[in-house]
Amino acid sequence: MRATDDYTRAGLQGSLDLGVAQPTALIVIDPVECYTDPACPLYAGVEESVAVMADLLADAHEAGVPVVITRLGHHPSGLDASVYGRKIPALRWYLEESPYSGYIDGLAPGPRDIELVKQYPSAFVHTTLASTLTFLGIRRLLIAGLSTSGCIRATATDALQYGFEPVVVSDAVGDRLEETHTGNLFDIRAKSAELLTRREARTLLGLA
Amino acid sequence: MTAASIAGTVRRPAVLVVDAATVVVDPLGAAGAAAVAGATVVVGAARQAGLLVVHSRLAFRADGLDGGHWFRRNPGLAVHAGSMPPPCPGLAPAASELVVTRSFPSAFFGTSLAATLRGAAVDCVVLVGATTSGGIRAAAIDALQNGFLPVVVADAVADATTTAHEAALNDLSAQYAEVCSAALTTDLFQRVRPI
Repeated sequence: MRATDDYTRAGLQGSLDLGVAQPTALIVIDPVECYTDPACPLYAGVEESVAVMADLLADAHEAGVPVVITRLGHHPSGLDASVYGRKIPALRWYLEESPYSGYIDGLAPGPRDIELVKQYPSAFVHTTLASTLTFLGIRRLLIAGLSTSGCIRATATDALQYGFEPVVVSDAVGDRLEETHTGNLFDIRAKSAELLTRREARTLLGLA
Repeated sequence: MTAASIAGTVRRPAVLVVDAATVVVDPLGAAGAAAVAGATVVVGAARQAGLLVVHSRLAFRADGLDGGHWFRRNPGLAVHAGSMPPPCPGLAPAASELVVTRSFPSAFFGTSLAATLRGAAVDCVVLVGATTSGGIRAAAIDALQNGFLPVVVADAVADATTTAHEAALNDLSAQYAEVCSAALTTDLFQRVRPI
């Protein structure tokens, strides 16, 4: 039996009805240079996904929907990285003192965008994201950025848990290993979110 | 509660300094100045005892979007939008101390403060700053709800009117927090043995 058949029979692999129009926002998670600068040990070889992220960001601006762009930000002492910092030494590459912590060209928040600095994988955890999206009347969240197994998966799960429809844009997210990327997209699709390509997301935003 | 009985309950207090900024405290007049003096004593004692001192400050985007309905209905919050106004002299954060920015009343809402305190093995939050009925009350209740013992230092917090200050302290003392003096708090810091 194929895995998807087994999941469907189990009552997983359900679908949110994206045919119903909902107020939508785009969130781009952690588009920072530590993933794209080959000199950084965290370099992930995700250039293709990053190019699609930039196209998707342009789509969202064209459609005039709210855009949130996140980055990790911690005190140099590591105090507010807490247990996460002790578990993941790589958080040092995101510190402002690191040469790799800047936004990837073309993916920095513009004046109309909402920049969100977070300390943990999920953009919803210990931030005002759910509050701000509620204030803006948003019901559905397009999710792009890095990386699929970490912050994307955590944010997709939390979007669902906070009452927003999560839509992960599958070609605008990336991870360091292809099997990790694919495996996590499978889990996300089965249990938390819809998957759309950037072309499909463009249509969802009402663009030609 | 006495310092001895609180010390018997907690192992590692931290001090949370709420909105110790001149734009907040100066309009409170003599009460504000007295609270800054009290808070300075508490923060000094905490630093001497090697306890964690964390600062909470309001900070909004220039357009206040991150403050939602709260920012929209309170024009006075605009002084915290765009850039952060200066701290009260004597209560400025040390370089090693964390400043947790927020855009709603409670220092715990939409911030990683609770996770930071847990990660540092803190079990008690000592509150100083302003205002008693606003940021102090909100943080005290959320400290309690997050599992920390809240201690509000009565002579290190202030509000726009004596009525608001006393009403808030009465509610906090009745339902949520220990209300202590600065002297009692510094005594507490000498009794606890940091981990």
